[in-house]
Amino acid sequence: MKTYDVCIVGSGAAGGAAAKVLTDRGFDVVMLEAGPTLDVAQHYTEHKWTYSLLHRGLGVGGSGYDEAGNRELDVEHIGSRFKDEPYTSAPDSPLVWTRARLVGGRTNHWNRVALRFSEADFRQRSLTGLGSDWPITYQELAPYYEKVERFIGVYGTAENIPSAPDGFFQPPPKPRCADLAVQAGAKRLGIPCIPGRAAIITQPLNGRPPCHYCGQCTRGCRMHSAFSSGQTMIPQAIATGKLKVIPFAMAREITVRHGKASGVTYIDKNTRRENHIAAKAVVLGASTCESARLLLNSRSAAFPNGLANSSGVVGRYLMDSSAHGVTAYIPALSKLPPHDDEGTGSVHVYIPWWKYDRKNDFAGGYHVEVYTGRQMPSPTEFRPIAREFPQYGISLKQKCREIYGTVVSLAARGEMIPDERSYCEIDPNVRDKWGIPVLRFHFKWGDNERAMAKDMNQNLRAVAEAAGGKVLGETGGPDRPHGYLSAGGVAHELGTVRMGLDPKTSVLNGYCQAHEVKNLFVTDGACFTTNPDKNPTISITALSWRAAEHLADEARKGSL
Amino acid sequence: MNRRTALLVFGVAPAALAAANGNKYFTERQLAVIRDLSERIIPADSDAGGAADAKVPELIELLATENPDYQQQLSGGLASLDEFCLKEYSHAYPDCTGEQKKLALDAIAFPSTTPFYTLVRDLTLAGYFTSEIGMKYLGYQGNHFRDGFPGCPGLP
Repeated sequence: MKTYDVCIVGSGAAGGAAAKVLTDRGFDVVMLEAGPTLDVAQHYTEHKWTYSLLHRGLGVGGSGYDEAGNRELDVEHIGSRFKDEPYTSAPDSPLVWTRARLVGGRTNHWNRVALRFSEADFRQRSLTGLGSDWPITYQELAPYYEKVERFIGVYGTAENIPSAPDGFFQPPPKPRCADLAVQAGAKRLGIPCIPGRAAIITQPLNGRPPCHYCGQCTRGCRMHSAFSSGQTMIPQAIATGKLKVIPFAMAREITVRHGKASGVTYIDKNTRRENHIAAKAVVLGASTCESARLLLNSRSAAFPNGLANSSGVVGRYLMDSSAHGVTAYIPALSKLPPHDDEGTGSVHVYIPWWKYDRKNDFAGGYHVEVYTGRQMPSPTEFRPIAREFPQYGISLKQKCREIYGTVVSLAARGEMIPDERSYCEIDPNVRDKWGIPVLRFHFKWGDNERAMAKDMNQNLRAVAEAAGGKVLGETGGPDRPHGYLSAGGVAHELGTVRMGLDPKTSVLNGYCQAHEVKNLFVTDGACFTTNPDKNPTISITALSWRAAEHLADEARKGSL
Repeated sequence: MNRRTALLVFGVAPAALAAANGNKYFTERQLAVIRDLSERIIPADSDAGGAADAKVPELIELLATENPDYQQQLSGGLASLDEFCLKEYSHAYPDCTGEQKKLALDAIAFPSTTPFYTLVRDLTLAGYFTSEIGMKYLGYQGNHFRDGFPGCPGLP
């Protein structure tokens, strides 16, 4: 039976970057993916019109999901409700766990917002007294951000703002009308609102055509102008002849021999049979919570609490982005005639964290993503308008048309302070269809997040009003259990297999390498020490790229 | 609300859904009332067709057939509407005059909106503006291949 150099679990941002780097260096790599091989013609839905769908995007019975269990308006095989693969939650644990079962993982549908962490983001504990410091610095990761940006393509502009380091950028798309209004409003308040930064190319790159501005990125981009792992990194790695991808392979356990990882046992979902892949090193990129689950389910005499988990930290410090949204309409814009105001599917402008130079009521920061334009109407698009204007008939119909395209959603994404009391663990009573014990979530927001969300609410309202907007709705509220936070839904879970200097309080070193198991690497969002406000995908990609180079160097030296 | 939250449409648990088995949930009479209500909420005008042209009643029926919660809310609401009309006008809703129907709709829509009305209204808006007729009415021009993005033509 063949022994591979490296077995990678997962094919998203982390798995894709590791596969690319390792195969470039000549390693013999096998990758396990729990879903099918990507077929954009089948799996992507971006050019399907809502009226061509049986439920118009509302899903079976209004659930949002079609008969096969896919979200009607999303890439197939991505969602939170896989009936064969459930998870459980403690009471009041608000996390909604979105997963992908498809080559490319969640990079198939992410919002493409691509923001580098700042220098301060790596030094949370030193600067705020809360949370933790990373074992690495911005300077150590910066070269990898650049490699990633050059490879995947990111639009943006150099702004020289300390909280939002500049990257290697393609030109950004021009602002939409409401973007201009928000920029003008923010300026009046002394708040910067700069061109957006997103992994969507506006100029050709490595054979990929520039964006065609259909505005549907989150439903997949078959032209691959919006970046996904399964359309570039994985095919490139396969083209080297060094990568074998095994689809429908649900990893169950990492096997151990003489204190090191010896391979991965998986269930073939088609045959329901259990197979084993032998490998000299294992890289986990299964997603933050799946990677923790896999370690916790890999119990052995040497590691009775789960692999690499003598510290008991695996599954702990589970974070999401603190998030709050305010939706407003800008009456002045209703005078504009209908025009193409859709643009990319991501942000054309955004507000970077601007209060980094002063004392706030909370630690950490947030940024604000601006979503607007005359987008394809979603099934819920006009609900807030109908609530705001209680009427029916021709006047309601006209009101909807008047306000459509003037609506702007300000979406704040903020830091969450890591807390060991927010965690996931193995549910002793529930197994999935493959017989694998499932996760039980105990996700908790903290006081810092609630205080931050209150500040988000005040500032988003202020920006919306300064832009000439009238508020239509907001997430949460002062009387809600989580304040102004929107509970779950942002899908930025991070931190369950954290890196750190001290093996007693962390699982991985600064290279995503397990303190206790040298040939085991966890390179997805699980490795994050903290969760700064920045959307994590580009950082996952950079960290995985760096970890894979380290793995390659160490393997060549014989140090694994 | 950004796009991702927009995908979490009505928050219905799939376990609560009945399989569509070809049997339509509404009686013909119930469907006719749903058609009447949806058309009153979004009527045809000189610019574009209304909810019935956009096949909104059929969509509501499909969703109701699949979702027991909707069945309960919709058939309960339709029964209450008939009760109201019988009491006020001595006729069930379908047999009322146009003016009486309008007054009955006003009674469930204003000033405090009943959950039944809210559901019918929200489903009507959802169905209408995701239809080809509704999108044309809005002047939606996106979801096409374009050579570039021109940006805002200028703020008014």
